[in-house]
Amino acid sequence: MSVMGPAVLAGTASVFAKLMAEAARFRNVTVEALTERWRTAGVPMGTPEQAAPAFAAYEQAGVSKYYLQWLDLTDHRGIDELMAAVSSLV
Amino acid sequence: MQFSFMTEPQLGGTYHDLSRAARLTEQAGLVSFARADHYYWAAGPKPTTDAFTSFGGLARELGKTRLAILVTPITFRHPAVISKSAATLDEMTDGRFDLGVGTGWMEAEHRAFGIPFPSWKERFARLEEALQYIRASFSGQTFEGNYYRTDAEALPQPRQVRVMVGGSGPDRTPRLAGTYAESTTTLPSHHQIWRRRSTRCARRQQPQDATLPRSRCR
Repeated sequence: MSVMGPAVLAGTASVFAKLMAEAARFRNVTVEALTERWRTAGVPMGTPEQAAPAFAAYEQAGVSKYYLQWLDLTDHRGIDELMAAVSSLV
Repeated sequence: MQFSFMTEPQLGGTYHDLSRAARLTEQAGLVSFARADHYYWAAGPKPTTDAFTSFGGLARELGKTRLAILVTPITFRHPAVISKSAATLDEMTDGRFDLGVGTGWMEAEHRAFGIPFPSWKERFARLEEALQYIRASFSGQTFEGNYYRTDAEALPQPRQVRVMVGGSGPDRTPRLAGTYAESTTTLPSHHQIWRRRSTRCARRQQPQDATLPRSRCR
């Protein structure tokens, strides 16, 4: 089974905060509301270290692949930040 | 855990934005690059690209990363077109294409483009027949359904298109996936529900990603 969920992962807490702010702006919600929504849904987020337990829990539940969903293709800087963080998980 | 990068080009972006993201995905070592298949978004129209056509370009740009359409609505294209496009991408990528299919759900998109949008019940019936059609097409079989039929010998047969059924429903979608596909995908909050469901798998095979354990195929 694979899961597709939002991806806000970053190498540092400050970059993560910027990406969350952008993700919230794109969805027209507050950062607080988005954080709470994703936390409830079990979305991995934060630095790779912070997100690792959530990914491990999915793996234990039989999830073999996680589709990191990114909404804004034109946000090149954000994609660069995400890829830098994700490459450490691969 | 494998990771894939999933993009939503219907929210805006050129082919060059898509290509840039795909090449970064390959550089980062992710297993696949995925995109949605929509022409429109309910919040308003944005410049976007066609899924199969854009992947024809990416097939030539990437060398090892799989490409996945997640998912193509069976309301958009006849299964003959889906099958032929998938077989072509399979050849162009040397067997690195994953085909996700679903019922289609965004009524506003269909209405805006004048694409027929049958009832929920009919869309599921069409999805099941489309999956049967695609399976038949990939293996040189014939198929006769209420909505679709084929006795064409579609060549070349793909080497390794992985079929995936996407959706968030807890009943029909897992059953269709277990019966006709190699894998499934769902949302973060739904995976535990899917795990608990008993799914009957007509193919009685272990799906490649162990989505539906063999014990559930009885």
